[in-house]
Parts: sequence; C-alpha cells; structure tokens
Amino acid sequence: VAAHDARVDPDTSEFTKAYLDPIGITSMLDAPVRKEGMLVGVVCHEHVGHSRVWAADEQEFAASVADFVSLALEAGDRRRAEQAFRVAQEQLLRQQWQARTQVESELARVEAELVRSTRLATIGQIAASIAHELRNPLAAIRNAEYYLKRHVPDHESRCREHLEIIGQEIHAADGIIDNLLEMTRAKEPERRSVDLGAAVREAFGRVKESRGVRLSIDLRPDPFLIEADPDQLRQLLVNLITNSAQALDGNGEIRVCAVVDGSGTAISVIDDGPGVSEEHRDRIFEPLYSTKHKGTGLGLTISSQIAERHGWRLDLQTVDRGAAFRILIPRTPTH
Amino acid sequence: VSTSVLVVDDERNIRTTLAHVLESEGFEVLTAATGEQAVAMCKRRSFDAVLLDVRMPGIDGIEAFRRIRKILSGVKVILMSAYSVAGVEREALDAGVVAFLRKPLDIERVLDLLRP
Repeated sequence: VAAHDARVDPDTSEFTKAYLDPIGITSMLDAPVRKEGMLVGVVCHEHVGHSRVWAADEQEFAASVADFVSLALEAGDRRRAEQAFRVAQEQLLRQQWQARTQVESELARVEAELVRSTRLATIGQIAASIAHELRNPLAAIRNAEYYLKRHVPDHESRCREHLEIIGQEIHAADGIIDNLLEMTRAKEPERRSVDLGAAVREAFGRVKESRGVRLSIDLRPDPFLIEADPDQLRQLLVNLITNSAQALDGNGEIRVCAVVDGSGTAISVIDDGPGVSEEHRDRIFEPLYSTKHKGTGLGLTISSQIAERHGWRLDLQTVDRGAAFRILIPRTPTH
Repeated sequence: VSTSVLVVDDERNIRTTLAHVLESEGFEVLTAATGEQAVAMCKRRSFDAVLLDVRMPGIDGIEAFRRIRKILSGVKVILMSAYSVAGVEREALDAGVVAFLRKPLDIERVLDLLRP
C-alpha cells in the first residue's frame, strides 16, 4: 500500500483519528511480510509532516525490505524446525540406546542365571551321587567306631580319645553330606507361622561355634511371626549364624533385628567380626566358593536357595564393621 | 535263647562291623552278601529279624523283603540305605517294614528296634 495522503486514502483512512492524527502521520508506505504464502505481518514506513508522494524506487525498496524480513522469518522457522528435529533425533537415539542397554543387561543377567543354574544342576547331580556313595564307607566306619568304643578299656585313654575324634569327624562328614544333598533337593517350602525370635535362639543353640558369642535379638513385636517352612528357615538361620560365629571365633556379638516398611520385612543377621572383604563380596553366594579353609562353599548357596524358594532374597549389606546378611521378605498383598 | 539277626549288605565291611557290634550286644548274627542269598538262608532256617540293605546287585532290598516275608511271616525287617528316596521309604513302611534307616546307622536305634 502506497498512501500519499494516508488520512484520506481508503486503505488507511480508518486509522486517521485514533493513530495518524495524534502522531501527525501524513503518508504511509506498507509492504506485506509473507511466510509460505500467508500474510504474517507488514513493514510500515510512516512519514510525518507534509504529505508526500512515494517514488517508484522507494516502493520497490519497501517491498524488498519486506521480502527480506519474510525470508529471515522463514529461515528462523527452518532453523527452529531443524533444531527440534535434531533434538528429537538425539532423544530417539538415546532412548534406543537405553532400551538396547536394558535388553543387553537383562540378557546378560538371564545368561548368568542360566550358567549358574546349569552349573548348580551339574554340581548337584555329581554331589548327590558322591554324597550317597560316601555314606556306605561312613556307615562301616561308624559301626567300627561303635564296636571299639564298647571294647577299648577305659584306661586306654589315648585310644578312647582317638575314638572320640573319629566319632566327631564322622558326624562332621555326615553333616557335609546332608548339606550337599539339601542343595540338590529343591523342596517346596511348607509354610507355617513361625516365631522368628524362637527360631533364631534354636538355630543359635545348634551352632557349636557359637560358644562364647553373645546373641542379641531385637525383634518387635514379640513374638515376631513370619510365614516360612520351619525346617528350611532353621537351616538358613543356622548357616548364617555359623558363618558369623566362625568369623567371630568365640568372641563378639551376633545381632538379629528386623525392619518392617511398606515394601516388606528385612531381617538382618549382623556380627562385629572382620567382615567380608571386597574381593569376596560378589562371589560368596556361588556354589563351592568359600573363604574359609574348612568351608564347603555350600552354606550361603543353600541359604540363598532357601530364600529364593520362599520368594525372598538374601544379600550382604555393606557395613563399617563386620558383616550384615539380610533376608528380604517382600510384602504380600492382603486381600 | 538269643535273638537271631540276618545282616544283608553287599559291602563286606558293613556286614563285618555290624555283625560284630550285634554279636557283642548278645545277638546271634548271620550275614548274607546278596538278596538271593538272604532269601535262600531264610528258607533253611528262621530269624527274628533281618537288617536289609536296599541297593544291592541282583534283587534289591525291597524285593528281598517281599520274598522273605512270604517265607517268614513274623520276621522283623529293617531296611537300611545310603539313599533316601521318599517314595520308596513310604512304600516299604506301608508294606510292613519295621523301619527304614539311613546310613550311617544310628546303632542305638538299631538295638532298640531289635530288642524284643
């Protein structure tokens, strides 16, 4: 629009009273700004003073400015669009990468689990047959020991001492065989309501290494009831308490406590012994892995299997001093 | 008259040691190395009790128990095994075995079961 006298020009006269007169505008030269063919704005040239005639080159100039603005706007839009595209693309790549990492780690976990269970199954089969085979020679030894105990006279004190040792070692060997067989026998838990405090005290009493070790039980409410297979729970507790007691070597304290929150119950067996060193931490639950020269490497494997069969989880907590094993019992929905 | 016991096990050392233990406790003891041999001995004479290993070459302890039961109806039979198979144990006890003991044997328990 080239309005030589804007106050009377039909294209601009509607602005005369409200806008042109108060400022004293007399002539106007307007050029449209378009984006993708649509009118999106106007570049206005306003003249104050005597009205004037817009020359052809001035009109051309105004049109060029407007075109230039149009182009600049379109370029800005394109840049923003491109940037949005790049952001979206990066986000997509990141999501893909995350999904891939997740799938890969899940795959690795499943694979490790498969290796672990296959290894366990193989070890289990071998262990079971060895264990059974060992019971025959052990039976003959025990019969012989019984016979000799009956016939070696009391004054043969050394002989009687040796017989005592044989008896103890038969008992120990029998215990190892039981453990090996327990590992291969995945018995489904028969759940009942068990008083945890009483179970801990009973298990503690069964662990001969617990002599000299203090036991402190901090469970509230008392009785602290959990749903568990009593025999399997006892074995789990015996295994954990045995480990702690051996670590304490007859001097120290084992503390059993429980925390209940919205996610479930966490039962901790804590000792103030030397703890589990960094290098062993990841491997102590593996079958046949032991940090003790007399260990079979089965105690914690069996314990975590018992936990798994109950739908629980057994883990080792990092603490400043000593070791803290935790049995995590998820909250079961109540209907 | 002392209680007569037949000890049946394919492991010689188990037979020998168990026989000596029982003899020194005042039982009259004979031994057999296979189920077939045990059945044959039961045909020739009577026993008050039979201690039978379950896993043996030839007929196993369960089958030997069935055959011996037909010959000596009142005989006390105790099965012993290094293997614990729950199904077999249940079956044997249902069939009239006095006890199914795990090896190594708890000898006090054996003596309690054998004493009249």
